Amino acid sequence: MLFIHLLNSSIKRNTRVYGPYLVATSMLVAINYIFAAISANHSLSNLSSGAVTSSLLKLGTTFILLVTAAFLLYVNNFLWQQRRHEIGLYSMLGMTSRNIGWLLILEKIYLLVISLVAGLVTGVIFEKLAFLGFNRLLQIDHLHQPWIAPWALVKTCLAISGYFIVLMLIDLLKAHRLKPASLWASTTGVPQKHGIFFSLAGCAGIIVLALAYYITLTTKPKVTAINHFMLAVTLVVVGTYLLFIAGSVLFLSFLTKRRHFYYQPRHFIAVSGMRQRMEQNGAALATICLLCSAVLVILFTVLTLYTGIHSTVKSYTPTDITIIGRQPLNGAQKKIIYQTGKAHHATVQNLTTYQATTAQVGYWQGKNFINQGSINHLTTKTSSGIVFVTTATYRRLTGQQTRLTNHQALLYSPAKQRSGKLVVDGHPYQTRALPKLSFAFNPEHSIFSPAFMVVNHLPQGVATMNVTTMNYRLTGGNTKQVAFETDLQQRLGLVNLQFTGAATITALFKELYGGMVFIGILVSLALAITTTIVIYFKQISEGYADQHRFTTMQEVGLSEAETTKSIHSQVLMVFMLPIIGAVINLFFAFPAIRQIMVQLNFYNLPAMVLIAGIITLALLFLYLIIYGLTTKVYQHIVDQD
Amino acid sequence: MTLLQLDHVQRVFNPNTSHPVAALKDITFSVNQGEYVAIMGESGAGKSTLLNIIATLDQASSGAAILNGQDLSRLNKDDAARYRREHLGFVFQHFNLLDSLSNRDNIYLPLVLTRCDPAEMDRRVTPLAHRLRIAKVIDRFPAEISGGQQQRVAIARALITQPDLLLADEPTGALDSNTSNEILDLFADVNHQGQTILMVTHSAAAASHAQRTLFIKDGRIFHELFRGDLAMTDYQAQISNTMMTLTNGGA
Repeated sequence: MLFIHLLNSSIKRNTRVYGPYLVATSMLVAINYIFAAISANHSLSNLSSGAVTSSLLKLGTTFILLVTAAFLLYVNNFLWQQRRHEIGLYSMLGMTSRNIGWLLILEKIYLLVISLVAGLVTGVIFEKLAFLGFNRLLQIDHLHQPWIAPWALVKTCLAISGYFIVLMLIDLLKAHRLKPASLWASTTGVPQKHGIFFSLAGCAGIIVLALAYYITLTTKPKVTAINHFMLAVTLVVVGTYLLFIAGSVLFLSFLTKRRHFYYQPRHFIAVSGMRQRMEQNGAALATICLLCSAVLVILFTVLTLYTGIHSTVKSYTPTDITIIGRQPLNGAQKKIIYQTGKAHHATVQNLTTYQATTAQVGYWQGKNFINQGSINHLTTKTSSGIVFVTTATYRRLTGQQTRLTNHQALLYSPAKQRSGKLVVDGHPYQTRALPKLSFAFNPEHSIFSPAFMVVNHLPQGVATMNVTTMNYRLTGGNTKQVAFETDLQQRLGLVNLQFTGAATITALFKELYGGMVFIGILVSLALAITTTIVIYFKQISEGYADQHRFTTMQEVGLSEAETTKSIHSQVLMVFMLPIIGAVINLFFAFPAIRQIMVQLNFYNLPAMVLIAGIITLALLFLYLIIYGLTTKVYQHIVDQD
Repeated sequence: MTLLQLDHVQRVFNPNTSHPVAALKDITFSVNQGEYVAIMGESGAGKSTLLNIIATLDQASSGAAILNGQDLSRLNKDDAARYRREHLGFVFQHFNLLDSLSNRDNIYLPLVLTRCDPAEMDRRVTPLAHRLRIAKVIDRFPAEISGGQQQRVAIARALITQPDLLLADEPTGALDSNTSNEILDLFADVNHQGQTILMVTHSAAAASHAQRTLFIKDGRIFHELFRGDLAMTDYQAQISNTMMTLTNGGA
């Protein structure tokens, strides 16, 4: 009973520390729950081909678990510093280490229960409301989310409890190792000395980050890519923490040595203040940086995907309808097409048929293309495919008058332009690159969007297909177009792989990517809130740490206006580093995301840059608002004496 | 030449409430250039309030406090801050060094605030550190040196701006007697070189180093003692006696 009483009063006295702490942990619990619940949502994974979404979620879950762990460790260390004094007092008053141990355990249970309850309630409500809201917004009718995902609840509870048990053990060990006298001693002291170990950690951070960036830059979208990206994400998290913790130490000592910079009122106070709490600073900055990076990367990916729908549809069917079959369409089928068109008041135009090989998948080994055969034979090495068409077909479909010899070829390879002497499937060709090919498409809708090769004769013994394309004109909007396409497909008796209608596919993609946009925005929102709270927490805790410092400086002659200035300088320095880090992370994620987009036949680089620019600016704007607000809070704390 | 002039200074806290507290009732005295003055009194006599007014950290409710021709009550907050760092030096009982700064940077702090050139700071600190015997520890941090050394660093911080007036608030309050004597000798030494010092204390031993001692009781100047040619021990005895009278309510 006494313990509970002591704990209550201690928490009450330290509301200004425990308050933000509990809010922050609750938010992290909520986010963990949201991720777990979304992962468990069947309507979402059924929405799409599912694979991409669940891969992203897997990445996200790992990421958020790591961030939670780092944040808890950081804040726990901070709390410990605050409570050392109090625990020292208890110890001096005669509490045994056993008593203190119980006190610490009780404290953790207290904090855990409050965080879990508050966090799970927030998470459940937030997620449900988000689902309802976005369902309306994106008009995705098949999304359902029950109020509570029990397994997600259990998972979250287990993970967070696990973390708290670790923290408790750390605290017990710390309490065990400290002597009462030193517990009681003043907590102020010398800024920590950082020797070679820190430089090493900094270097390790850079190496780990470089490795992570290397992985994202070099990973080709293969079946194993997701594992690589998972590794890269983990490395980025570890590297960012190392770099920020050690890097901020090195950076600040560097600033200290630049005398003309250091000995200026605003820098002097800011730099020395930060140096005082460098390790905590680094951890907090790294957390903020990672959260911002996540927001940037996620939003960038989903928005680019959404913008890319048009080009993906074009790659599935360059014309309004594409039909693929072993045989060309017969007269009866053509008749059906025109009849169905009439029935739906659609005017069918440009009905054309040509022959091509099926996409030969394989991989490039230098200038040599190793053919693995059809899409059924792909392995982890597979990276592209080639469709062959004859020169005659090329001339007919494009109206060009090109003539080739038997050892010449034209190659349209949008993902990576190739030309010159190329050996394909054992045949050497003198190749010229085609910058554009109007009828190129992705017949299998696979992630290996094929190159098109124009040769005089199709290779021997390779499966061929007959491609029929057409456009149609139909007024009355998307619904009518989809109805016409569906009806036509049925009447022709074709399966999905054979018949592709642009309107149908567009609707399908809007639904699929709509779901991703939904998850992306939901997750970004949650991450943004967490970021805000982490920043707020950091400002508050530093405000209290700096209170005494600013009082002394005002006695020595720091005016209020100068106090404000130096606070802004300190806060701004702290604020700009993570956002710069986040932009760098986005910069390196960019090529990887572009790779994915290229596989989805989205080649519009300027659009991607524009999207990246807009979300970066948006984040910066939000960031500056938070900056303004928290600076006020900080100043308020520093000013009150 | 008069450096500091206080004229009927009054300070009332919570003036418009049912319980106004008059910390200073009527204080009038002056300090000449180059003087070393101690202000004594019991806890609650108004010493700190008086010091705060002279230090521009507080303002008188009525009366005038004029330092070197500047009416301190006419300074707004930011002007006061600027005035403090240019004309006043402070030494506190608990040193008030910033633990985040090295000793050197602590000493530089007021100069940094006036945007002094780093080379000039170095030029000024070298002789000062030598005189205060902190040259060896100057690049350590406050937490790494003894209390006496910390107070010497604080004195260096106060002197580096070459202030018109050095204000000391119980400068030996947190130190043992040996260290106290060292610090007081240092003050005397600094005073000999022309530095005007105003020191608040309730230690007779500390006050006996000054040339003049003012006694405050209940917000008024109660008595004044000059050391003159007295030996320090005799002067200290006089101060002790006066304090005794003061405490026992005699007039």
